Amino acid sequence: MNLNKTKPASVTGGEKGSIGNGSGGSAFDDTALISRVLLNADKNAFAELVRRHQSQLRTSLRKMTNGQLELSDDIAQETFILAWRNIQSFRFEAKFSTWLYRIAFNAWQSEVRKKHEILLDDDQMPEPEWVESESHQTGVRRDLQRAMAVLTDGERAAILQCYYNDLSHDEAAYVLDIPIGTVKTHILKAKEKLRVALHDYDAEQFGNESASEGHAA
Amino acid sequence: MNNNVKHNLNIHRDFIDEVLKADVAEHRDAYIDDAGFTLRVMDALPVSTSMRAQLSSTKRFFIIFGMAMVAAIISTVFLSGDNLLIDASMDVATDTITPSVIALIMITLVTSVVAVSAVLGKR
Repeated sequence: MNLNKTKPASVTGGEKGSIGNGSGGSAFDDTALISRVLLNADKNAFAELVRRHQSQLRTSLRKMTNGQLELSDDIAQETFILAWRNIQSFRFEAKFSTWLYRIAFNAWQSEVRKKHEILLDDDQMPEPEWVESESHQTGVRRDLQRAMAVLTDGERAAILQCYYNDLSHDEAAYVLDIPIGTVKTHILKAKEKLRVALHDYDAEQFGNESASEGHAA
Repeated sequence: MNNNVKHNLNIHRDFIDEVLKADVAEHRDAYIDDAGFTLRVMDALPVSTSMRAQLSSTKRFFIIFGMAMVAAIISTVFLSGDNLLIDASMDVATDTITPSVIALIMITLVTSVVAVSAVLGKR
């Protein structure tokens, strides 16, 4: 598991980086890199885009696939290949990362359909490989992962886009290709399910004082 | 709904938000090391779009060149009123430079320039 806490300068914020001769040449934002890909099919520019966005995309896909690293990386690779093939259709109306999320979501849906996957129950769900610590807080997060598995695909995707990918409802609607109202509904329902799934855990293991007071009253 | 129930709902709502936000923060700060991923993607990329563009440009060139040659030959035959093309072909076959050969070369050159210009103009 390669989870580093420090981001390389070239990927910070996913906006600026340097490409070319490796001697710290001029900086390019995503738009400039995409233009180079569009005009010259510049593979160096595309490689920089991949380097810049791979971490965010792979993190998102790991969430989407319930921590299946190999599957998520395969979908991430497929996403970038599809982006390369279809970059002519990128209209600069959305951020490049948002456009990638959209491709990734579609690729993931195709994968799910291909494998006829259904929602995994606790026994089938592979343990997320990024859960390394046995700390109390990590335990809550592990339970959150399990609780996420009981959400429908749409609910989980909406939570992922709006929380983890930090997209607005508008952007999430674009990525998921659904109306904005449906995004909001998915989020409300998802949070309600998570609330129910983690309620006992919260009350029993956390001993939330306020909750106890509430129950005692 | 009494106050205690409302209070509990608020606590659970806060708890869910708190857990989600903590999880989001954890993974937002985390950076997944590239570890050869970019290289894997670049190796798997299909033939570049520029190569495909070149192929289609080549096709376009031959189509335009062919049409221009046909037009030039027809024009020459009808306008010259003699056997310019036949004479030129025979002279070329016998390695003889004659005005007919020069005219044929000029037609080919002009037609090529027209075709290349048309293809480049399209791009």
